[in-house]
Amino acid sequence: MVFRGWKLDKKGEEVVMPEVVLIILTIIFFGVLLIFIAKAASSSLFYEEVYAKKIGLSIEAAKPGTILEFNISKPYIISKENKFEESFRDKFFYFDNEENSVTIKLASEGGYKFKLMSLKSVSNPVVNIDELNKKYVLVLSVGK
Amino acid sequence: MDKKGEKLMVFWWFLACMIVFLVLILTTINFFAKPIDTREIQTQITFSNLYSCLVKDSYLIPEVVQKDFDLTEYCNLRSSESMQDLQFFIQVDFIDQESKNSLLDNPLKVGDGSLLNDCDLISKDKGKYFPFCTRNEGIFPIYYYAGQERKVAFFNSLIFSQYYGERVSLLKSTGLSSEEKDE
Repeated sequence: MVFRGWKLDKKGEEVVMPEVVLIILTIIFFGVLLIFIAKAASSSLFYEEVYAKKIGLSIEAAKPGTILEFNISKPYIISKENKFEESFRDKFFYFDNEENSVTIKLASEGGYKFKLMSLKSVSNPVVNIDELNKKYVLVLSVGK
Repeated sequence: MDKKGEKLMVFWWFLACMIVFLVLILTTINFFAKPIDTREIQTQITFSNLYSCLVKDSYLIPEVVQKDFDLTEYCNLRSSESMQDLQFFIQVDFIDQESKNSLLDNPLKVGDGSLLNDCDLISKDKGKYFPFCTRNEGIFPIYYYAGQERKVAFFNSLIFSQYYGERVSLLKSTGLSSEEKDE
């Protein structure tokens, strides 16, 4: 076994090898763990639910005639990771005025739906994406 | 340490790593798989909407005490059947401060009353299988007119929710509200 110019004899190999294997496996273990946690934390499934409930409850609490504005930079970043940014403007937010529900979508498959208890409606929902100034907002108007 | 001892140490080291690994993965899965609980805010917003709808300038609107009063229609709420499907329930009553009698023949009810008993259990065992109940009794005083006399009553309500939202697998959304779609 050769380590950068110095050579280990058989006895040395026997001593070092288990330690090296142990260190490499530990790094792999915790590397996989960190990647898993990072993936889970930035998962579209989680943020779809967060934003569906956040926007749904804001509409529920708003008086008719209110114009609501939401910062959607985080969902936009996640949709980019999911290669969904092209459809993001059109498909991120959907309000069904017949069912009175908010649906949020951050990936090509699936989404999260949150139904309101009141029969409020939403009109003119617009997703504004300003890449230059890094401003991403959803603007909507709450009706009766 | 001899060779046997070393092997033993390596085994315990791996076991410890595996346990930490598994615990962290299961905790992460458990944390992100759990639905975000917004039932408390939901019930509070509904109460606030009901109060704004039925009370104007601290006075109870006179229509409420009429026999054919429809709470869902007047306050722009979901139908009772629809609320039942979503496991949501609203009960409203107005109790006179002096006589302690209700101003209504029957409390106004909307939604799924079958889970009503669970609201009493919730103080004992709080969990996601029990609805979240917001009970306001004797807290919000309001004025009302009994003939020419101004009296005080309490706006009592019990609102519970077991609705978490739902994941949709396939979506045919356009991103526009239905109003705009029709145009």
